[in-house]
Amino acid sequence: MLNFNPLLIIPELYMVALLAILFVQSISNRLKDFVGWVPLAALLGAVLAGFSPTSSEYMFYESYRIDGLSQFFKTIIFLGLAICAGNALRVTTLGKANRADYFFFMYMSTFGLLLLSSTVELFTIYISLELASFSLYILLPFRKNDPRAVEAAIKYVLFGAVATAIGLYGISYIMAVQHTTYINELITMQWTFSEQPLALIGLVLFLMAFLYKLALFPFHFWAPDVYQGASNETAAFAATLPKLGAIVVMVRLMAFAPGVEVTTILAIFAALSMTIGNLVALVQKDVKRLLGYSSVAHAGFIIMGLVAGGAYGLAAASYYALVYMVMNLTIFWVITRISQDGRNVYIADLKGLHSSSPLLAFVLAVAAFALVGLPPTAGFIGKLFLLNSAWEAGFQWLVVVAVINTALAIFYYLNLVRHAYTLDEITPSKIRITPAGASIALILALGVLYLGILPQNIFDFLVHASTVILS
Amino acid sequence: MDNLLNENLAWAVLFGHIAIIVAGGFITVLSESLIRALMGLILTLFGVAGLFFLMAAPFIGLMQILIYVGAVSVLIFFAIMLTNAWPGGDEHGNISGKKVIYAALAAIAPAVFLGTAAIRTAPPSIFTPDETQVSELGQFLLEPYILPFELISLLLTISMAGAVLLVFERRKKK
Repeated sequence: MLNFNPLLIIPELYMVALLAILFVQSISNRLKDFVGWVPLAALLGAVLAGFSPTSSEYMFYESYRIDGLSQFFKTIIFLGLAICAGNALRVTTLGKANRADYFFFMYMSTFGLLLLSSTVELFTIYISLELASFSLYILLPFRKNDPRAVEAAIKYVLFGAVATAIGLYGISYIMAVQHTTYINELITMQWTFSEQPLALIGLVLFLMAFLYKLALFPFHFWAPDVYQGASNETAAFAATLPKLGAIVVMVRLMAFAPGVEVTTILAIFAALSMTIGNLVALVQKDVKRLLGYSSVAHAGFIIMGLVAGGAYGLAAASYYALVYMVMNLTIFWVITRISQDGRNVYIADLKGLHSSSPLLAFVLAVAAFALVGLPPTAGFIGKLFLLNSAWEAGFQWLVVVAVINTALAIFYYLNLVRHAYTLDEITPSKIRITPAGASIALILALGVLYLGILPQNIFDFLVHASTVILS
Repeated sequence: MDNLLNENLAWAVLFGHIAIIVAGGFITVLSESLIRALMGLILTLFGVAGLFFLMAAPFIGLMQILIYVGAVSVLIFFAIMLTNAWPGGDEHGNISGKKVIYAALAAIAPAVFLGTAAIRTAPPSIFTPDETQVSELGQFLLEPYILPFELISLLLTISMAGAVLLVFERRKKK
């Protein structure tokens, strides 16, 4: 049944309307720099998605599903987009490209992510992923006079093309064995190596396309280069939102409860990912490159919830997706404020931040504490849920590795705080920050604390949403 | 007797096409000139079209020839012509033997792994393929798969708009 009900997809239709406006702006000479409304529009989208109904409904011949999980992810994607767009309003390194174009592709990429959070048919998932990725590929090279941006973009595009091709090849295996690509039918089938080996191999190949987006070891090599090469504002977008899309798809796929072979391989990748990400991050000088390796480590943490599976594990992974997004947007917000002219920020640049801007120093400290996972921040509670789920599912060794890694991570995150608070710069420079910029930084920091102190409502909602997709 | 002849003929056609595909692939990756590489690619695409005919999917086979051999190859021709690429590019030069061995291993490993998995555990298949009507294909695309089908058009628009944007960005800099 087509079952087209526009009331169910108001957030998506709203996004299409925004894209139409941006498209008109991008081809008109008079309107192309009039983009101040863009972040507010995204915020309104978050409200629309947040208050939309969350009862489970199918659309478009059961290839599109509205449920609690999809609406949760749509809300946080819109929220993240509002922050990223607000950040990108002051992007100084665009060169001659016009701003409406930039936002058009950023919003188109987000549209792909919105679709990803609702699609429940493998080909639709694949095409939505490509929609999100292609638009991102176009955003990345926009950095005036910096060949590193082009290099990063080319690396990302070429390896991304291979990763998605592998994913598509995986669908062919699944189709050959299970004769369908609809998740609501696939979830009722067997996913063990002894029963359906070929289908399981296909599922692993399909997952690889998303592991690449998530930057899990051994598909992580693009993350540091892309973070470092792209403009700070573009990197903030590329570092956070596409991962939400990958996580929501992986939550739906891991609801198949695939055989122990897959979960073990993923758990080993997760352990390696955490360890390698953290060890390499220890020696980085460029803050964005450091965050790139830290995201590799965080990808390992998210996989922990996914391999644990069950309503609790999947909810923990979804919750960590939100936490990951907020933490990273916070620290990127600080970085973009510090880098007034759009160049990369090195750790040494943080020296004396407490005197040049006490507020930014505080927000940086909150974000760094959250990224380590210290209470009372969101990072602590998010990791606690993940560790809990992995322990209960019998991955005790993975929990031990994760805890050791958290200890490792303390060193380089708190090194940022140490530079900001205890080291003085010889010539202190004043950081110019607008009231709006300061208040958003503060709101983000409060958000990190809120998610750490009062997680229960959101987490209960996610457990309920995961129970719905498991049934 | 007739049946056996048909079956042998089918095997001959299958391996003939596989040989064409593999030969085309080698020409594509090994030849120095881009145009010659493109010729190898076209040979491969013809071979794949032949496989579709063998599987009684003449519509897909014709589409393969029309779209890939016809349109895409011409597009690549134009790209080669416009970008003025010459054989002695950055990648030109001697490659160490070690690298060749590693590359070959990296290419063979997944093929061997997936190939053995597919051969040993493949689900039973039918030996005489069913021919699918074009109208059924259309219905298939416009009913259960309408959402991806429509999204592909959006995807193509984005790729084209993005390509134009990036190219003009480079032009302006010059």
